Amino acid sequence: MIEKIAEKVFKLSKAEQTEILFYHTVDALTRFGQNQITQHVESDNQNMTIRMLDKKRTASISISNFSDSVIEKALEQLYNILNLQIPDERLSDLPENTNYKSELKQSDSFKKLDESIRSDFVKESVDYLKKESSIAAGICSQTKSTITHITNKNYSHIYHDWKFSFSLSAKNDYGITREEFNGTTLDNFNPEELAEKCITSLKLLKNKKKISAGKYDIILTPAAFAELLIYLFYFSFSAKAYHEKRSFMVNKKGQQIFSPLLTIIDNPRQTEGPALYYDFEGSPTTNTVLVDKGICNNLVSNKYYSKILGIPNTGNCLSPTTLDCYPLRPEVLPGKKSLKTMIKESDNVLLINRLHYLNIIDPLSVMVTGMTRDGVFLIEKGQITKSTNNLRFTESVLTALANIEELSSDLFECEYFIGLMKVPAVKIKNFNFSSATEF
Amino acid sequence: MFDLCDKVLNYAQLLGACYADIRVIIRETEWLYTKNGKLESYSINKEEGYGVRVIVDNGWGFASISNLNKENFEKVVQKAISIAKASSKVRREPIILAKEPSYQDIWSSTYLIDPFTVPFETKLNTLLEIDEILRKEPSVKIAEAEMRFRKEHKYFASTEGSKILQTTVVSGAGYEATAIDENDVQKRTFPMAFGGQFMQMGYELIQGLKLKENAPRIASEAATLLKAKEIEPAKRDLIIGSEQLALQIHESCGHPSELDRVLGYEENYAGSSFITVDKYKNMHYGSNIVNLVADSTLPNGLGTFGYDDDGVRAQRYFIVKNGLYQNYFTNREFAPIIGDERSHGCNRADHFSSIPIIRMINLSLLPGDHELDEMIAATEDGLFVDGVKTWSIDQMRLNFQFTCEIGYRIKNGKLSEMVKNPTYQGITPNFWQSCDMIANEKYWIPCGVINCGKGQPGQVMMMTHGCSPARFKNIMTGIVRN
Repeated sequence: MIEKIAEKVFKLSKAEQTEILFYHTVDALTRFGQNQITQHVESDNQNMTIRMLDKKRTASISISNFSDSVIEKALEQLYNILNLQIPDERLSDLPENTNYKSELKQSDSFKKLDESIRSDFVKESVDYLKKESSIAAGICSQTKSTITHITNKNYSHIYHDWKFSFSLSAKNDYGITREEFNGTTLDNFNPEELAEKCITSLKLLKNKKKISAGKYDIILTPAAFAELLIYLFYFSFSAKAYHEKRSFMVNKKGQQIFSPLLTIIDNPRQTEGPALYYDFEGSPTTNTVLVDKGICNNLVSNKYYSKILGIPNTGNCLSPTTLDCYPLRPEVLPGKKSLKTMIKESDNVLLINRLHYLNIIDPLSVMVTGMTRDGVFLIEKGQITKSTNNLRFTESVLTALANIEELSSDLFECEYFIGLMKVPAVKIKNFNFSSATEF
Repeated sequence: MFDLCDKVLNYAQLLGACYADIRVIIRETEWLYTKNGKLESYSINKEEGYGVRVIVDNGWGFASISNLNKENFEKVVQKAISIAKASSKVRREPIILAKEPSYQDIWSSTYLIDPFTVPFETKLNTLLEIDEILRKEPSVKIAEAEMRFRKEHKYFASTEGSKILQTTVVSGAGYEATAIDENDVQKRTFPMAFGGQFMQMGYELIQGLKLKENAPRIASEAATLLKAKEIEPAKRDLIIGSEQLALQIHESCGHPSELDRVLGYEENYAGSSFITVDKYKNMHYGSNIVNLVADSTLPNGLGTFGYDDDGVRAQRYFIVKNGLYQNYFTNREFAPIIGDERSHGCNRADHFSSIPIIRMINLSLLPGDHELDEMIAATEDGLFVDGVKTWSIDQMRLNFQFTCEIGYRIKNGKLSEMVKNPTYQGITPNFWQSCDMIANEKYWIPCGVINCGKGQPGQVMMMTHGCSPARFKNIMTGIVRN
């Protein structure tokens, strides 16, 4: 169907260069709270963005109705708008002479997943928590999407993405805890195992200690560490942000600013799960070392910014008009000890299960504020002995990453703003908490 | 379009649905975004589709599709029914919908100039003129301006007999000046952050915003912020301008008043609420001058409609009256759980592919009786803040911290030097109980919010918060670095 639509669009388009981005996404999500399913949805969305490029001018239009008359009208409107545009020398020609179709490597367990199986997963976890007199809430979701990028210059790239997520909160009179599973396969997923972990943490909430704001040594679970890292990835490694002097990298590129234990790579060509081989300008993606043993050497770039900064084009363009570029599949390399061992070797350290509602105060120091939630535990002499109240932190991510003392050997897949990222648990000294709550 | 609705509803009933509704949406949006003298992005989006919601065997099901082809409707309904049956495997309580009459009605928002009839060049030239003014200030390295427009036709029909067509037109514009030097990045926005001011109006809104007139001041303030100092952490009296106060209302009164959060259905994601059911109509939320009114009939508000996505007619009611907590935001499913006979009409979806969930409607602070000058004059050691920069609040909606775009010290009753990154924090009920002065209706302005995120899959909703500046006593201000 897409080929036929593309043929029609290219035939009718009066512009020198025309491209189509065809999005097809099926999102399904089962949501539960108070031990019952409360929302259960599936959406099947198809949308096409047509972009024209002519004499360094560009314009685009998106439609969800692909009938002949709608396409014809859209192309006419688009061409009229194109002729009113201002030429922009930064714009690159559309990609040409490449045809690539990514492999759809979904596991059988993912392919079989449907509303009935999702409900069964929910039932298993809810039943487990009910037996332990606690209340379950969470989601079980699956997303499948295909993006087809075609130009009238013999370029096509078909990219498949898919993801499964299950998150589970357990609540009783002592508080609330949460566990999650994210992945592109369900092969290692067991809802009862997640429920059991929640119950183990929930029992630890019984013995509470009130603590005040101040500086603490902390261990962040992978889910908590991922939330902190998103701000670094969103604000800092983009060649565009660097060029506009909005990134900390402006004054720090090539310097040892983080702990030497920290290495982060961008790995869009990952071998497991969905791999992205071309970006949205049609440039080949590359695996880039963002942080090398604490030194930030590389930016992620696109055609325009690689040219003006004299750096390699890493193929990280997400928008060919606004020229935004971000890491695509970040991965923090693991440390040597398991999270269990890290806890065993800690004393007077806070173990933080999850962070909540982070927001940035200053882009240059990547200073963020946010809350802890779903379990803050006190580790004393290698044992989790108590839970504490929640705390608000106000801390520079740069300072936090400089203060890393250890990374766990076990990596987890965590939510990223595009797909997933792989992250270990981390131990950080002197983390700044600016206020405390009563709960 | 109601032909399609009838087919869907009849088929859903044939397959065993005891309740079904359908929302068909046809929507057009236009977005212009300029940056440093260039049209950085321009897009038009035209989409159509429908979502079907059913109750079968005491389980909810929802399915949607992004086209209006009549040949697809059986598949969509079958999927919704299958999902509802799967949901019924994990269901504890019966689904009982609060009673509401059925309506056959047509409703439209009001506007004078259809923004989609205004020539593209007129819109672009306005943005580029603003851009030029902003970049006259040498420290302003990034000038961004944008306009967005949306026209939507929504058809709602239910097996209870409602057939409602609603048309809304939303317009908005704004800009941002980012000043940068070797040590700092500071920005100012106008009329509001995150895209500007938005209302259910036509292009007449853009014409009335005085965008160009304010651009020199905004650029100059961004530049001055680079040289400004932060305020040292301490407790002070705080006067909050309308734009920031609108966000304070949104985060610390709007969200905790959503009944789905209160009942624990958002526990895993957005969180819950400190306004638990035992506090319903039984809590001193704020001082006795605090009156917060929910109103889906507010003229030109972004949360204004004829009917919500349950088919419940628009309403106006107190959330907080004279400081006492009065009402939650409810829908037909959850209102009966707290003993309410009727829904307050807050079930809203952001798209045909989204399920309706409880969302706040327009929520405003009623004005007080003070002049702003009088409030400043009555403040010995204080801070005036406005402009939204950073916000964060815990999952119970108690502990919050906000950083604003701009602040001024108040010394001995007078505005004094500018401060950058003005930050304040507090605990919600203590904070609202410390409110001792609210400016009068002359200062009351509606602030449109277009980026309110909630739900899974995520939905982005719009609403308006009107308010005048208000004073809060003895608030922790400044960034606490320990």
